[in-house]
Amino acid sequence: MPEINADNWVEDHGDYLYNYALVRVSRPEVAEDLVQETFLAGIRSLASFEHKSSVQTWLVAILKRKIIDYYRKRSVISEEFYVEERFGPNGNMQDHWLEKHAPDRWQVNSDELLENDELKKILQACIRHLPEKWASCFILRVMEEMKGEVVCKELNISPSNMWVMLHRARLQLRDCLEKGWFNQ
Amino acid sequence: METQGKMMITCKEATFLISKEQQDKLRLSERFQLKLHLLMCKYCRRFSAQVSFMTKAIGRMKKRIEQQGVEVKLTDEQKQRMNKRLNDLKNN
Repeated sequence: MPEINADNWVEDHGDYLYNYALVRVSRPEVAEDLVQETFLAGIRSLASFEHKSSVQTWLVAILKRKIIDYYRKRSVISEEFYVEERFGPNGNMQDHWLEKHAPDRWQVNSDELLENDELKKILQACIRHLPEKWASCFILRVMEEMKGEVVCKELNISPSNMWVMLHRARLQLRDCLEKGWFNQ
Repeated sequence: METQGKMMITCKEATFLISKEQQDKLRLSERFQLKLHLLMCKYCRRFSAQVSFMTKAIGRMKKRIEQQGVEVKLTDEQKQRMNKRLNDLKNN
């Protein structure tokens, strides 16, 4: 087995791992920390590297674990945030969209718009602004495409809890996108 | 949110099903309830289309990021910080 030399890790893999983390945690200082911890963990467990994959793939796997741990820690912190009620009685209907929260018409020219860089930026910013409790769930389930059971286990929540959080995250993302993009 | 046994569901319930549908298959009864609600409610129809659009946009965003790989580079300062801590570990 060739000896692995970690001297150039930062130079060789730093940018890649940093980008990988940045997409998933959004905040640069957190991404940097996670990459740093990944390198440290990698050096500590070099002996267990089995040469089945490239060093980079192996480091990404460690980073993935770090990201899940990060969100697990964040998800138990009880942040104070205000959940605005979007539904209420309307005439004889219960839990109907409240006027000021009802979805506006979006001028969606789908395919073109999906490639739009500006939209991508706003979407990322909107995800960044989700309360972390919902973000943890949303990132792991939707961005990481982890299985529902796994997300529930990692975050120690029930499936119905997960659905509620994902739903709240979507309601909020929709509002954010509407305000930031469609209603300018 | 339990909607079993109801024919008419509220917007609150309908939007929940729309969200759920992005990740999971709905039960036949849920699909029926949702379809019926969407026939009558333009706001939920919009919500449904918009949420689908968001799902697509997020998928596209992920794909692009994977293809591009490196968009932002670490600064020299960040690299130095990292190397320093790695060296500290190795020397201990």
